[in-house]
Amino acid sequence: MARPTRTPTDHVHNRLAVLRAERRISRQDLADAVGVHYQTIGYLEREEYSPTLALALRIAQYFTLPVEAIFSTEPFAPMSDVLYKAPGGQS
Amino acid sequence: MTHDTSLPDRSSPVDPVARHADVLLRDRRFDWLRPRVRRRAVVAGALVSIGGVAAACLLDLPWLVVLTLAPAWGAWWLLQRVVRGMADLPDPYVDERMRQVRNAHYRTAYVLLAGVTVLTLFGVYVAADARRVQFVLQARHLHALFWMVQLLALMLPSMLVAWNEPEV
Repeated sequence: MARPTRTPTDHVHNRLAVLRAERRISRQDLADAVGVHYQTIGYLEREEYSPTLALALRIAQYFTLPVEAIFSTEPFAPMSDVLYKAPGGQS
Repeated sequence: MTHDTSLPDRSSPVDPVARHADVLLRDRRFDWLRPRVRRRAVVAGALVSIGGVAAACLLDLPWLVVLTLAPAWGAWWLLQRVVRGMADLPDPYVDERMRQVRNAHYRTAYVLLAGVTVLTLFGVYVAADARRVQFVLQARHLHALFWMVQLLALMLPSMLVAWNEPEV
């Protein structure tokens, strides 16, 4: 059997910090709402911890967003690029 | 089968474990001790306190053993606060990241404790068996070993968590 290796997809990127800042929610409030310790929110935001599917879904439910809008195995593009870059790559 | 990954309601006024968990997890009085360097200093202090108990046993002075157990107990108490009881609280009272960190460190702690115990016993055996070294295994040696293993078993998981957790 081949030795399991850590692939790049083990790392989960997220937009938690942006969402939390945008909605002016403290780490403690978010932590209480999704049932984790407030430091865990910090580790998630710094991408030092990848959440379980259950936690990712609870966070998505809290923000009323699809889970893929918050978490991704690929790095997210900066919000300014997403909002202002014209289709076709010209700004 | 589903596994609840959220923290339970820790506000129960009747469950003493829940109250204790709530105090440990929300306590910010010890935040000044939680930067990595200070956490590691607490770990070093805990190791010194364990060494102190073992040394007192080797000197065969019971009053000194009792005296050195006090700082060891203090080190254990402080470790609990520094890592918020992450290594010792029952599963339902810690969140999924804490459980993951705790499980990883318990495995390491088990290997380390087994290694230290086996190596020490092997050293004692070799010393007792060597023709050139005058060594007679006495009760004080066994007392030292007993307390060292007991205290390491009690503190090692918290020590590893305190040593390895990233900067908050």
